[in-house]
Amino acid sequence: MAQHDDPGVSVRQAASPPVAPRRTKAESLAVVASLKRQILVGSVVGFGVFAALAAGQAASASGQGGAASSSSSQGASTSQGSDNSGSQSSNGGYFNQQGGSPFGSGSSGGGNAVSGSGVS
Amino acid sequence: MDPAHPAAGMPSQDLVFPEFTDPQGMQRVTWRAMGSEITLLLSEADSPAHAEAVRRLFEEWEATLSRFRPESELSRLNAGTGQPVTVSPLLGKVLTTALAAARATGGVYDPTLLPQLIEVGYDRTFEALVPTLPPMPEVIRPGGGWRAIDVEPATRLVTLPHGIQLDFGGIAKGMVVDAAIGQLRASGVSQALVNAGGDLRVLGMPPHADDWPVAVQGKGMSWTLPLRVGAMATSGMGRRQWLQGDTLRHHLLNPATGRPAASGLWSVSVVADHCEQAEVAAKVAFIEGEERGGAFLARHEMAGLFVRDDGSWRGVGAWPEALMRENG
Repeated sequence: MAQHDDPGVSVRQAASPPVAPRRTKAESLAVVASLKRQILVGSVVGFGVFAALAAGQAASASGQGGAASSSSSQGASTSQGSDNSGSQSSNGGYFNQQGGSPFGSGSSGGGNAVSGSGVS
Repeated sequence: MDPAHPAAGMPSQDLVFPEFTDPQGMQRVTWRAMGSEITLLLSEADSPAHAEAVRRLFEEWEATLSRFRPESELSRLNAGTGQPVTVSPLLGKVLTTALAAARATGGVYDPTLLPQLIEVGYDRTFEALVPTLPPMPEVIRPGGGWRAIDVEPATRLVTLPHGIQLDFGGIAKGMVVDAAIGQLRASGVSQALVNAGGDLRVLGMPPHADDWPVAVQGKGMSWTLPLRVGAMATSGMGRRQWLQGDTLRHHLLNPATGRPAASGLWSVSVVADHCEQAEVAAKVAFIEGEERGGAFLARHEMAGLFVRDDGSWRGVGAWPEALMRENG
């Protein structure tokens, strides 16, 4: 049997206490700096993944209920009398309302109608 | 035929509005466009050039979007053969907005009901409708064709599948009212009212007043309300109705059936931030009926007035019933 197959030799070698080389202060500082970099990179990557997931969720919500292949108001704006239309409200909801009553108190004397909303 | 019904192509006699009064310090400009009377109220101090610019805006929108003009861009798109077409920024904006409205309403607002409108007889301008139309075909397909429209936003490349044709109807009118208000505001105008056949929006307040007294239609009557901000639109069957065979028709189709909606309502008026929203919401509420339409308005925090076939009515949401002043 070859020497390197001798179990006795192997046991003795494994039982030898490991000799851990003592790190210098400079080496320790280098390890700490490396860990800091890894934490920083991990945080940035994690935030990016989270942001991407959030954006995907928002896009999915805004397209809910629709099946038009690819409809969007971007790139289709008109320069003719631009105004923020209901379809482009800030929260993405088509019928989003700013809140508050649109009606006055009628305290200005209840004058005659100046115009009207009828069946068109 | 019900003798109480008007002749075909004629508006109902149930439309009642008071004579409108010019607010103190304001000028009124009126003209016809998009099959409706357009009214613009401006401060007397504002240049007439503002009114002219708004008139040109309406002309451009009608020239682009009218289904009754064979040369309009919309008519040319509708006549396409299913091939991709690059549309103008204006048509692209209105189309994408209409599709957004269709999605937001689960398809109750449907901009692709032109074939069904033609089948029920509305194949020309309302003023040109003939007294007697042939009966409706036995089978009319439901709506929903908007789901198959392909739009490439970046290039405004639009593909309408075979058999799908667009009619924007009131949403284009609401949008052009919003656009007119936006244009006036950008030009430095701070007080204005724009009304396109009942779709109206206000900007600022009239001089010497805290609100705009605005009439809203009932069946055979009307009220005046103090509108402070936003827009109001009314959808109903009182204006555009006609006879097909012995059956009274109107232009508000239920996409579920492809036929004129029969919801028990005569009209729905809605107040919203934007005229486009008010117009779509009023149409959807009319088609859905009082119960579901009321829930729809409540869900979106919009105030509305439901007028039933029998003339009775009720307000929903923040509709100020206590402020309704009946016009004599």
